[in-house]
Amino acid sequence: MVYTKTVKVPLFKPGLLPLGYLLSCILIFSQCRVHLLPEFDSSILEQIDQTAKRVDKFYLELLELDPANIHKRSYSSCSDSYIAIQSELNSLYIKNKIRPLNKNTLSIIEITRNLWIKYKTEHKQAQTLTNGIIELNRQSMEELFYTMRIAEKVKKQ
Amino acid sequence: METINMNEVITDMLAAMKSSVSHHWKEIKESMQQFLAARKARFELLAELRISGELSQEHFESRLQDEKLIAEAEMQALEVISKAMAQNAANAAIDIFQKAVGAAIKTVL
Repeated sequence: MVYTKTVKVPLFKPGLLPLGYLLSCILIFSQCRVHLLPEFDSSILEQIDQTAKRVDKFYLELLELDPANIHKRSYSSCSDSYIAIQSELNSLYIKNKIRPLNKNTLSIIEITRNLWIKYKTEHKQAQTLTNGIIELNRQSMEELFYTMRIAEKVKKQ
Repeated sequence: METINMNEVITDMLAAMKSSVSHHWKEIKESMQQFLAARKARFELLAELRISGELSQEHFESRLQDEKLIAEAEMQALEVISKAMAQNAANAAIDIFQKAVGAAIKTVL
């Protein structure tokens, strides 16, 4: 015949019970952080900076070209740059889309991308751009990239 | 060519903002002044291009829609700033609580 015996092992001695609760609380709170935003990502901030510089350079170079020479300022002469920058904006959009709690930043990128496409289309339709329009586009984009940069940098703790 | 007194226009814009928010004006006055100051150069350029005819009425209105989108993007950034501040404040409070409990345990042990 096999006898079995159950032995109860107390997890906490009666006097130490409140201490157990306290330790549990510590464990819970050590994991508990309030998260309203995604973690800061330095590679994304770097990409925002690089894309902003690229956009600024693109418009400054266009401004340097003789406005009377329609061919030099034509859409076809700079379509590669338009597409390269749009591709960077698409990449920023995708990288930010998969980050949780990131709807505000995603919205800023979406507005920037839509306006970039709009200005590209306007250039394509008009075939050339005046100094005034180039400067207006440059200033609008500068404002948007500044906003995008703030939205990422503020996530840094 | 016709010119535009942008300072006068900005003052009128502030007056319009003030009348639309009435009682809350004191709370937002500074932010609204900054909002307009940041746009002053772009609004000046926009007005200049429309007056000179470089921008058609249709394109001018389209650019005003763009300004609304840029303002929307800035509101989104302000929301991120508010969330970051709230997150930091809440975590700082939890840290203090955690340290206080840790200190209490040390005295018990």
